[in-house]
Amino acid sequence: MEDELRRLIDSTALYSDARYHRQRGSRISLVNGEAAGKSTWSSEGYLVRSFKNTILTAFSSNEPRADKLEVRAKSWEEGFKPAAPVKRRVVVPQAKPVEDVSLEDKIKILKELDSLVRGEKIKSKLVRFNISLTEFKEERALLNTEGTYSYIERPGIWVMYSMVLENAGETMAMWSDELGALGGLELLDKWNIREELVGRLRSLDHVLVHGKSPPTGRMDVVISSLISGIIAHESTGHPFEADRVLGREAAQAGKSYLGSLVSGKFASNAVNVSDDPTIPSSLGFYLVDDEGVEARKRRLIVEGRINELLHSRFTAFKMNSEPNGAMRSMDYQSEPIIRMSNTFFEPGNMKFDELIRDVRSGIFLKSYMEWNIDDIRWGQRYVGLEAYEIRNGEVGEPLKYPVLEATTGEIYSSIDAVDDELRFYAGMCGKGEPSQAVPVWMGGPNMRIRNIRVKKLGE
Amino acid sequence: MESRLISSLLDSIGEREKAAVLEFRDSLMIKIVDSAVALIQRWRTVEGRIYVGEGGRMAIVGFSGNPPKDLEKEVRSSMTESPFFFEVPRNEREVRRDASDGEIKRSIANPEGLIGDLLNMMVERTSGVVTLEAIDRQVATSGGFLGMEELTTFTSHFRVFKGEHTGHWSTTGSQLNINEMKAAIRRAEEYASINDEVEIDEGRHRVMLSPMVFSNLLQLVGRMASAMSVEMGSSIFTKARPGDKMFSPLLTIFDKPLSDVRPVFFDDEGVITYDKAIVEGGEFKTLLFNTALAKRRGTSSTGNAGWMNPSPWNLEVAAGETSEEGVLDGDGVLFTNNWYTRLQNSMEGIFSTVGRDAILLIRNGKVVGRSRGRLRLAGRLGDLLKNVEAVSRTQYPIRWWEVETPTKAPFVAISSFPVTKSQ
Repeated sequence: MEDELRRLIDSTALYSDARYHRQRGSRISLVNGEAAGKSTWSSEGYLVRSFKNTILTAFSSNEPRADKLEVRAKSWEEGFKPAAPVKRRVVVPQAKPVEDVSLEDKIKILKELDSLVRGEKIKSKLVRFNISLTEFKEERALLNTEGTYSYIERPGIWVMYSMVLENAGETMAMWSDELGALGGLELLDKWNIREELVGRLRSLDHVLVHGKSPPTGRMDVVISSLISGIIAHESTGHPFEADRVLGREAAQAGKSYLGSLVSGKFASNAVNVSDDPTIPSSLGFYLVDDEGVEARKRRLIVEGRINELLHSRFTAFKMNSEPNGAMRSMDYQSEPIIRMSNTFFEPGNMKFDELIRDVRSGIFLKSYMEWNIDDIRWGQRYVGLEAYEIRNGEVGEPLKYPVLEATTGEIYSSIDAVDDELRFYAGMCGKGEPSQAVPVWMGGPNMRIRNIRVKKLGE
Repeated sequence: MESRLISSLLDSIGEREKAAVLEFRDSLMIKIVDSAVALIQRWRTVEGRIYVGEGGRMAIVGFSGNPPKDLEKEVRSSMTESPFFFEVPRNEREVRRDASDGEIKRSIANPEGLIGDLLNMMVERTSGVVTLEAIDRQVATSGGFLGMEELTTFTSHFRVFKGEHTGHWSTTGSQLNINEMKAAIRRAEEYASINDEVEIDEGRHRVMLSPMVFSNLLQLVGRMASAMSVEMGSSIFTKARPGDKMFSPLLTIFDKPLSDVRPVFFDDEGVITYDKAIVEGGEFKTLLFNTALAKRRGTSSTGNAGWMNPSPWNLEVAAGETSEEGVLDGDGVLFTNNWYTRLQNSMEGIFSTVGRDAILLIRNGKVVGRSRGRLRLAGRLGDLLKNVEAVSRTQYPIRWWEVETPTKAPFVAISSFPVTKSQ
């Protein structure tokens, strides 16, 4: 493979890299209790990238071949930062390889989970329950003109499910892709998936049947690690991608609020956010990025202050910084772009009870239905799915459906405490054109936000 | 066009029911940032998928690149009982269609002329993308069908910056059209050039949606019209019956595979495609079916396979009877672009979407100014479609980052809809 890639790179370019990228996977689904069948896919090919005459070009093909395209035009790119050559081979292990379990047995596992969920006695009616098991294996080999050669093999599994419950003509819908990691079928035990599914069903039923209208106005809100994670991803991770700050994604996902901040400190001292691709078995795990730069943990926000951005060689050149190994690509058809890996709020020393203890009247937001955020990552909105009132320091009755809709500045400057429980959740992150979906983790501890505005759905 | 590969793929499988799709694709993308070239990317790829079924058991194998080396073994190891098993429709015929544009093919092979034209068209700070595709699509089935079609598309969108103010517009089609791209840049520049800023309060407003925004929301309708979305419980049509009056009588929504925006002549089961109304005059007409899902509901395929998941080919909203000025007449808030549309409850169609670029306050049909902050539309999709009170005569072909299925949409006015904001 190394020799094949060496033949592909453009040795006359200032910089060139060639990548072999293979993805294989399959999905087994139960649609409302019925085994829908198995779909398999594979994707295999090469991408060659060259920076020549100050123009960046990329060519993707299923065959190992190069493009002869040479263009002279006004270029947005100005140059790139070199990096030390690396040689590295990484194979992520599976304790229970997915190949060792038959298709029939995997369907049996899903059917048992389906029966378990359907057998649970609840007050509302479970109208739909869909569940799928996805297996995947990714292989990437990269060689560049600096002499770097890296290879990684990433097998993993992903369980996704959705539920629709109905009570007195009112429906509640949820969808989850939170259970995903690198490894094999041993992950199903690690995730305690039976308890996870039954617990989720019970709590949704409780909210649907007994949930009352939430209080609105300004109050203290405690958010779970699930919501910390999505906030870290959406309003730290994305706006700290240097290509967004510079405008390379301006016509797609937009730019970043960092371009208009007047100060480097915009969050409280309790806020520390990192992105770390070196976490073993995480969905965002890698040790060398897709342009041959060694990966490392990036501390994006330290004690409320901007610390560093996610960089490529090219953005580092434009911003007079250093590349920090943040370039990834979805498959052989995709140019590498700056991506998050595993993005999270750093935990603190407090316990969850301590977060709640001195909240006189507030809300505990445990999970969300959906979220969205504007194109500079400043105005964000999370609609609570599972939420509870907090009264005199104790978590109380279920609420439906509070809405946290505020600016990044308001949320980050109002976080006054975080607990010590760091938990990660799987997700698929979209960016680039053509759109690239790459697997990530996002997470954090439970966090307390003081005196923030809460609305309710439909208000 | 050669059919040897697809025929040999089909022949290599012993099972009775089978279908294969192959797409040979040559593509070019020119990515522009601040009116300069950020990336030129070309692709030469083969993508395929194979359906195999027998006796109620089935498997689907997809690939990008070379087909799996031992295809039969791969298929055998993936066969399972499935309610979505189907017998491939008998349709013994060969269909060859060429809807391709030579100019698109020439520009993919030699892009320098197009790059030069684009850079000359740009106003001062323009970012955007132009993508050209030439696709040789082939479908062969055990039902005796062999289809080969040559298709081309161009997809473009441009975001113009005037300071921090922006405007964004898209255009698409099957024949390269530089003038339409110029018009898209002009429209984006026009919106970016509106300088005065105003505060717009949260609450219910009369809202007007540009074709960019309406196309994005129609993606939800297209997705929910898939019979698989109904199976999954993720559709506002889950409990609907054909004939139900669901939306404004001014609203007719088509799936138009034969649209010149991106014509497609046969589906993945070899069923000949045809244009159909999903909603006509506000009345729900049909879901989109493949053979398996049609059989489950005692009806016929609508030529929208996808073997597991039927989907629309091209969406189109029928032109209305009002001029663009007429739609924008009176008072209201005009959303010119949006993104990040998310459903909170897909069965009930509760969603929110974030306005971006120019969100304009309209008084007496005149633009008063642009919203200082970004606003959301947040409510029920069904209410939005029920409250359509004007549809423009003009339609625009839209396809961009937030509009995956090519969509021809007009300007529309919605009598009342909730608007929210983050501060």
